[in-house]
Amino acid sequence: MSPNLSVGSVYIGSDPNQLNGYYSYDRANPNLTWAKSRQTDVGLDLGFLDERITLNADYFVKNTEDMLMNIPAGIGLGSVWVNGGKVRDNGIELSLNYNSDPKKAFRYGVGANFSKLNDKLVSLPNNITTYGTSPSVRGLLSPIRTEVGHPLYSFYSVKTDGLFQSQDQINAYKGSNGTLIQPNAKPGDIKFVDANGDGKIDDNDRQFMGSAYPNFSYGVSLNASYKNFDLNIFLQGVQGNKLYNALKYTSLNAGGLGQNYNLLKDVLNAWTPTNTNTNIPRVTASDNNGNFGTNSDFYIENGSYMRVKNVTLGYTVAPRLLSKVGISSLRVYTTANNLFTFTKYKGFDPEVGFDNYGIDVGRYPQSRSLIFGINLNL
Amino acid sequence: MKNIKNAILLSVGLLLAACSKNLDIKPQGAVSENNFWQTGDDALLGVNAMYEPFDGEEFYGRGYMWFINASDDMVTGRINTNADAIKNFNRTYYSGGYTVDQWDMRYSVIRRANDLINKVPAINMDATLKNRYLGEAYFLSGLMYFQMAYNYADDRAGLPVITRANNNDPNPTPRAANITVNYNYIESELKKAASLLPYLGQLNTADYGRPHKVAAWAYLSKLYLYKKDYANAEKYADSVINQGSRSLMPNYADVFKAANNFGSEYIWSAVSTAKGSSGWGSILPGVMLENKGWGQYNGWGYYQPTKELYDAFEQGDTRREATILKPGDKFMYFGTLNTYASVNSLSGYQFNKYMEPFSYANPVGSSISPNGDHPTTNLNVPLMRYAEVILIKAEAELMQSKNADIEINMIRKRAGLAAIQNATMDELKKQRRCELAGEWADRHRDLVRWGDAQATYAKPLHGSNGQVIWPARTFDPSINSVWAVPQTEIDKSNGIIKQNAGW
Repeated sequence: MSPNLSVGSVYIGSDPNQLNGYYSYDRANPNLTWAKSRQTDVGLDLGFLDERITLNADYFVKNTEDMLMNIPAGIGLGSVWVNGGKVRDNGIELSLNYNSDPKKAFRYGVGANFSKLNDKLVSLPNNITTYGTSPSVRGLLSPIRTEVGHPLYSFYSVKTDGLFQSQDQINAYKGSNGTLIQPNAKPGDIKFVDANGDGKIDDNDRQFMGSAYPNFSYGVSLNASYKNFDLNIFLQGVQGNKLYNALKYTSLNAGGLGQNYNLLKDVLNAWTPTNTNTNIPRVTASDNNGNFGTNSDFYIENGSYMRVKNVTLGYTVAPRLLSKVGISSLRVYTTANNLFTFTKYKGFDPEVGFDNYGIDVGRYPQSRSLIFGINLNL
Repeated sequence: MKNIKNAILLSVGLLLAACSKNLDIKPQGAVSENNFWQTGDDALLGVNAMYEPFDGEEFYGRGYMWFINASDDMVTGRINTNADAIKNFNRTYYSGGYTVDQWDMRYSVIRRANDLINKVPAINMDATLKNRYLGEAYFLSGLMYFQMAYNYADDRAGLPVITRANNNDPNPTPRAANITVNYNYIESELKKAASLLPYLGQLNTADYGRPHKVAAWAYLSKLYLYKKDYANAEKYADSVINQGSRSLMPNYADVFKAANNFGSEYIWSAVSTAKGSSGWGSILPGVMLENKGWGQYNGWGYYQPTKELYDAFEQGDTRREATILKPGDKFMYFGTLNTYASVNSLSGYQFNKYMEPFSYANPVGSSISPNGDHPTTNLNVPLMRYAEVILIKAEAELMQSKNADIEINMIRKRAGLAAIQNATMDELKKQRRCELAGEWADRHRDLVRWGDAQATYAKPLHGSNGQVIWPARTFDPSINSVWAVPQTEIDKSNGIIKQNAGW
């Protein structure tokens, strides 16, 4: 397998002319083979009361070896496909459904599903321990790391410990050699944790801080009908995931990109000597302490949410009233999408999913919509 | 009557796009490593690819100019915390941002040069062209390592050397033991280049912008100067001088005119053009232009000169007005005579050197790029010019306790200044600063290698109105004499590439 050469254009000459150039950016690997995976599933299907209660449970373990991995081909190059990653996924999926007695006028059903997935990178080829590069926030913050022993695509960031409230606190924050750990800090700046204890804050202080993979995700659907009315509710959510709210970088940072305008209203709650009970650092056009320029857990937030995704209420007009006017059926209904969202996440929309590995650079939020409809059959 | 049923659906639906499956078929006629490097035409395509990264915004546009911007000659003219962190030697700068690709871009040129040197010798083709192509590869390889070496390597750690043999090895290459290892490698690359390359006069004008023998000598002289091998610095500067085809232009301001891109002072430059939809080459002229270009063009407003630089020029030095626009100066802009005043320059000054492309009426598309987000011009930004070779020779002489009056006075005379006798290093430093301000010759590196950076940066910088515009900075020579290795390279190498000590 030999990747195509890349083509670039250049200008050369006293009156420059455009010329093409060919180069090998992604590299070839003549020894590439298929990945091998082995999966074990255990499943259970149960039904009770004439299948009015059903339970499905599945558990699986999947071991993948010689996984195809696109690793950097080396400095100054693109990537190369190699075999060799070993990943273990295991997960559990449950679904439970209940339907009430179909002979009664008031009928309802409840369905719930639950799934939990773990994945873990067991090893990489050539005894390397990390691979890949992180997508970044405007080329500045690169929080994603894939390392042996950790879930794929974890956040790897410097830990914060609140804001400095006074110069005394800054002066008291010293390394073992007695020098200030954050000499550029001013009251209202973020205190970073010197995880490796070398007396300074840098990329060697990054730690694993969870990932956009949830502990579990779930959905609940309810449907009920009484006489001519019908109601459907669908809830959905994830629990225990983290999101990287990079919107803070662009929208709370008064100096970041050379623009101190178009900030979020939250910036009004930034630290000042009289507004100290906040976690938003002071407003400054320079960022000498790296409040915003540091890839830290200042950006990492709980991404759990529960969303009332869909609610539908319908009314079906009785057929005998309609047959005289040549209509065989008529239903009027209203549907609301994204009606409520319960979350602590501060970004626009917690439903970031795994796009960009959970780095939210201000993804356009999903709208709440209301639909009124008529379903008419002649 | 037949009972026809029509279903009418009145609702808003969600359309799900179907996924298309990629077919595992290779396009016919695609060029891959397997069917390339067969002919002389292939070799030329491979050669051209080495120049492709030079169009990058952070190559000869900003890039190392962020490091040169750490000097006392200029300040970042607008609010930008990431840029401030670089100038203030604050370690928050190196995890990302403007300087993160400085290694990758240069190593991409080195990789392509290595491929070429591995493959081209076996091609059956014109021998003269083959030599030229190989010479271009050795020159660019040497130049890329040199640009990185003095910025990132010192006696404690060198740069990774990707040899021709390990050019296809995906395993990370550790840093060489020290900068001397790199300098020796660069020396060998540039000497091979010098032996293979033709003289500028032997190139067709369509090939101007490709390396030539004298450019290799000039960079050898600069390499030896940085290496403090002054005898060889002088020797290779003499090679350039005695070859005889290069000379100072009589009028300093003419050096920075597009018509003289390949004039008598040219040795090596960033080939640039306003052609195409986005231009090509160095965006430095647009980066230095007034932020938002007084409503006419997307100037970026970075890198503005300081009062310190303005005051460094002697009375009567014609280079001062050619170099700096100060409030009240008259200048041509988009075909009309303007009086310089800045809306937003932090210092109140602007560099004037690269303004010629903006002076004409209707310049967009002819002398400046149609794309203000990639503001190249038709002016080639100098990277090495004859005046610098003269100054390298002068410095090498002074460091060997020889008299350098001939060279110093060549520079002074062209600037409209009286000749002096027994010029000292102080005079050399002043001439180097005033002659090469705002160019890639690199004032910051000069201050570091002269041991002047700490004291210089401990003083605040001033604007045209005399106010402090940049507070004093702390420069620790034991740490800040080299810049921090881009963190992504450390991460990608799985920690095999180590950070510079102290950063």
